[in-house]
Amino acid sequence: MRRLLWLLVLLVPVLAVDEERVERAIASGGERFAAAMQQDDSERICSRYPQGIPADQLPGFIERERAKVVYPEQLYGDWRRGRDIFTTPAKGNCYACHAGEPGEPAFGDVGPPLTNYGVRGRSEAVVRYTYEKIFSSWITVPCSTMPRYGVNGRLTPEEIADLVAYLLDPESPLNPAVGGGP
Amino acid sequence: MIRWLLLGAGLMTLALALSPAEEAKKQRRLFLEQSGGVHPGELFVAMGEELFQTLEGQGKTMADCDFGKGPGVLEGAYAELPRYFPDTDRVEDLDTRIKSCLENVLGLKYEEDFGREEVVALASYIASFSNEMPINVKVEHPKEKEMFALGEKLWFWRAGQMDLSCAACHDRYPGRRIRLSPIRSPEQGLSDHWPAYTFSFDKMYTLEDRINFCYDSIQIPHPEFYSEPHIALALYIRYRANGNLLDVPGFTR
Repeated sequence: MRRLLWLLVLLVPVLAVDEERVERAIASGGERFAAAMQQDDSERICSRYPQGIPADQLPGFIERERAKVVYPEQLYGDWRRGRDIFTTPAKGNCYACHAGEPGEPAFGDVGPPLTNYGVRGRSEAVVRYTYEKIFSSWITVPCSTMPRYGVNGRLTPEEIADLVAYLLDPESPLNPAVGGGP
Repeated sequence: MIRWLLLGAGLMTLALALSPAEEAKKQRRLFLEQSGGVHPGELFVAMGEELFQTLEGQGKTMADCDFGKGPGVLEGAYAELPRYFPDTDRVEDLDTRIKSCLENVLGLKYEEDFGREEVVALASYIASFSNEMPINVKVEHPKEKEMFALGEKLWFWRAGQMDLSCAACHDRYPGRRIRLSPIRSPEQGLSDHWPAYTFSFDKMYTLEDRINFCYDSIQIPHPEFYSEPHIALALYIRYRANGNLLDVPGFTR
């Protein structure tokens, strides 16, 4: 038993690397790499618990993510502009992970299909949920693989509102089941 | 017309249904058929062989370099990399070991006497001596343990404008696709075929280049070649792939 304890004492410092050592390794990758590897509070927690955040830390995590959301004047923008944002690789690049318009065969399947997302209707609750989901997907699914487009400034609040319209508008080609189509 | 469309759609569904490994095999076969059976990777191996035999300095050649199995022994060396090397007192991957050998043993200067292209050709040549051998990476020396722990940290490290980490795709969604590119886990052979000839760029790339593609595609400017993030991730990924057979020089899209 005592030997086992000693073994544990010896093993722990070997297996765990301290933060300073990790920072040094990252710094050796060069300045641009090191700058991009900086994390915010939530990224740090998600990295630390890849199998899921401990239950007692969840409420605080979600609350902090929610506080990051910035709302534009109109949560519902222009679906045509939203369509461009959805397809453009440097913007939404949504086809990387989601199916979209039925005519587009080159889509990833990491996220759920978004074809006919508009069947949910356009109630204020649906519009708000959709906006917040794109701004920070981590409010609803903490540490989801989906990027937090708004939190990271990848998209502006107005651009996210345009995406909301593209996802929900009955005229959007994403929604043939509710009347949209080419 | 409609019948052709249906057939096309059917074939596409079939292609999408293939596993990542089968898909890679199919693409490789198609390419070889079109190019008359020549694997372009072999040209880089030949280039590396010539460099290996002709580079010299301080009265030494590359046969004086130890890649882990003793000076000049290449058989099976790559299958055990990255590993700890007492002469440099650190863990090195293949690219880094080639560079440190040329610098320390032959006294050559990087970017003056040799550059990235030579390292890649040499890596292809040296790796070819481990083709079809099982990956056998050890994490025993304290510095190997430290490097492995660093690799694990980096693997799960979420950052950048896309909030991604290696694990967010390669552990959560192996077998699925980003656009049309299949995602593989280390166990499924993520790293088994590097160095590989990449036909969309008509170039040879090593595992370090592969790691760079990954970082660039998630909007994190890649770490510099031969730096610790490369060595740490290679050690972590290869350790998880222990037992997998190397397929080098590989062939990929």
